[in-house]
Amino acid sequence: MSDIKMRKTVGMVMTVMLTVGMLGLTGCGSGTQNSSAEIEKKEINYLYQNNISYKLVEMEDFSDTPPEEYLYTRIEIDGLADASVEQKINGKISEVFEDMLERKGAGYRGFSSKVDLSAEKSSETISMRVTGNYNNILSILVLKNVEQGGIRYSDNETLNFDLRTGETVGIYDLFEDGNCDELNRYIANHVNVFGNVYAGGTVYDDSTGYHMISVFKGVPEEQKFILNEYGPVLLFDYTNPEFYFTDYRAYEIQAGYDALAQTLDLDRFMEVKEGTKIYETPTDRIMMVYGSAETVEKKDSSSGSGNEQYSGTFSYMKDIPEAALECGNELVKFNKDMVSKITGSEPASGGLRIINKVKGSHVGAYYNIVQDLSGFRGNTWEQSMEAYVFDMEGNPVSLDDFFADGYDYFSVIKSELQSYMSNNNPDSVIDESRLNNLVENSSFYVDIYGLKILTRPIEKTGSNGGKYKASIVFEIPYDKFGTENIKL
Amino acid sequence: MKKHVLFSLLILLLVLSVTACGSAQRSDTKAEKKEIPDLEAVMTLDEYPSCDGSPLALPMSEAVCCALTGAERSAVCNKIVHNGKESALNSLFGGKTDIVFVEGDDASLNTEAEKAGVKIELFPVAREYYAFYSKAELTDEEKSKLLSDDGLEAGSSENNISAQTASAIIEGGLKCSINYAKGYFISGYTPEGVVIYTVNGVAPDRDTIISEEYPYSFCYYAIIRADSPAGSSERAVAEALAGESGQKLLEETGYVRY
Repeated sequence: MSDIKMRKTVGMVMTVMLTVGMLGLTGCGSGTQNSSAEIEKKEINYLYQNNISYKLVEMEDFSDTPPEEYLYTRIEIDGLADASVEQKINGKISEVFEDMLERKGAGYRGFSSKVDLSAEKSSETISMRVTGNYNNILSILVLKNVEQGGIRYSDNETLNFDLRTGETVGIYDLFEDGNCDELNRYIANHVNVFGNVYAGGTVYDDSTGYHMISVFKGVPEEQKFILNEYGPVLLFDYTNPEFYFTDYRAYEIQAGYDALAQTLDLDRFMEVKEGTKIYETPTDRIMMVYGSAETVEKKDSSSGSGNEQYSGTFSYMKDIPEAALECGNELVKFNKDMVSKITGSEPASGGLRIINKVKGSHVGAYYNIVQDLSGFRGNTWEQSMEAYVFDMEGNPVSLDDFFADGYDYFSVIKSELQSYMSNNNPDSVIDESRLNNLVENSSFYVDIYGLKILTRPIEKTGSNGGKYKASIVFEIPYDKFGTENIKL
Repeated sequence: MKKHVLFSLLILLLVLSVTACGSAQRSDTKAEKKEIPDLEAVMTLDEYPSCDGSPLALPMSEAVCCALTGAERSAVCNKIVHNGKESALNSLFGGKTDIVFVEGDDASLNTEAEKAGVKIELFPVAREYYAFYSKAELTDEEKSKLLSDDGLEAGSSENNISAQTASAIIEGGLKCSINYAKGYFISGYTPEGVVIYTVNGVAPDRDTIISEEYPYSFCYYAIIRADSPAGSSERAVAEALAGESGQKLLEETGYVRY
């Protein structure tokens, strides 16, 4: 071999050695270093309602020994463009229903030693309920309640369908890359309630009858869950071995969208191939979501003397903007104006009891403060409701702010109010100026499925023919205005 | 030149043998470790002894039953009932139950058996410990109080308490924000913000609990009556759980081995 070739060979060998050496020092693919990039907190303010309908079908028990009392209902859906997908979903629902019907007892620890399964059932119900119907996901809770041999127990199943395909959706499918870490931390915070630990025993929640007998390891892939307007609800039962139940029923934990905003990814179910039609009648009906599943605070105040008795409460969801908190605190304080608000210009005669309920709710990108003021005088009840809306920075939001510039929301509200009054009080005369006046002096708040309109108190006729004054409260679904006209 | 080449190749071989992505080392280590076999099914579910115990011992009770009978967890869960430590021991002493799984110490367990006029046999099978925690960082005022009560010198390490303080917390004599709980609560997903304390500078982990360096550990026992005959199902269960395969099963179930 020539010197040049030899040098090249040596050079190659040295390069290889260096490479191997480097690999040895760094650990041969021991893992790439994960950079701890900051995850931007998303906000989930609204979702899209699915345009399907569903009906409850009542079933008969044709067995030889039906329970003394029973009620069996299952769901059938309608409205998907693809009949085969619809059939698949309805088929799966039937299958789960039949399985629930056939099931004997429930899988709780020690169940068969406490419950005589040969005893006759006093009662049995199997019911299905749609809990969430949005973003191309349909969520159904299947609940079985039985009384047998003197013992009451329940069993449950959950069904979550991807309406694009008819396939069932698991808990991991809701999160980006199947990452349930955020959810698991939320659940751990909830179940590892250190304050409830007894040194000699287990974590025990007096209100629910469950013990934690081993460490919470995270939700399994087959975790039972449903979706509702607050977020995922996890059902823990005999399929979760960390839990030990003493009352033979599942324990629910509601996780809010606000708690899971970083990793929950329901928008992925909105990805649809061009030209694909999911619903027979497509729509873009939106629904807002609750900003939190928890009521944080409740303040009570009561006072009164002589003929006037007053009680006020202010309860609100967390993340309340300062301005909204001040508004609520102000509204819950008793003042003389409240009397005239309810009774009009007439002075109160006889004893008057005033009940003032102020509630704060975080819905979508808004925070509502709603006052429900009621007055009871003898057999008479009168009421006044009003609301104030803020954005999450605490800025007041008017209807002008809520809708797109130039959109004529007034006409829509006026038309809806007219319909409502015609339907609910057909004998009343509604003149144009009165209608305009009512709309101009109304307040509103943002609810899940639509805008809630609250008028000032108007005279109404009770079922006994008596007159009383109360606010009209009615809802206008968002699609009446058109999603494109709303600042979501 | 040939010498250079040979020399380079030798160096290359040396480097490869040392680094080699660690795989040679791992396989050697693997060769050194004896593979512990799993417990095998040796009886039917009907043959399995009647058992009882404390709720915290349910996972081990179920796991060993599944392993020794080959039954599904759902069938086992329906069969096995743990009515609590006191009830389980009474049931064992009264002859209604063949084997119980409870936590405690051998001295007090033997004393209780003596009072009942029964001789028992204890098989220590797993360890548990008390973890000391606070739901959040202590305030400066709480820290100062703890320092003065605890007799620690100023500047002692954060998040550490003495064994004396730990005892006082367990006995309820020390009013502070530090609580104690069975250790399994701090494994897995720990709630946010929770502070776990070392005791005498020792953190509770598998090694310090097994070696008893961490001072607040205690045992789980499988207990049978001493007159249980050789070859009985309850004796087979207790011995299986105390053996290497049983210990392996317990660790897989989430306990710390004995």
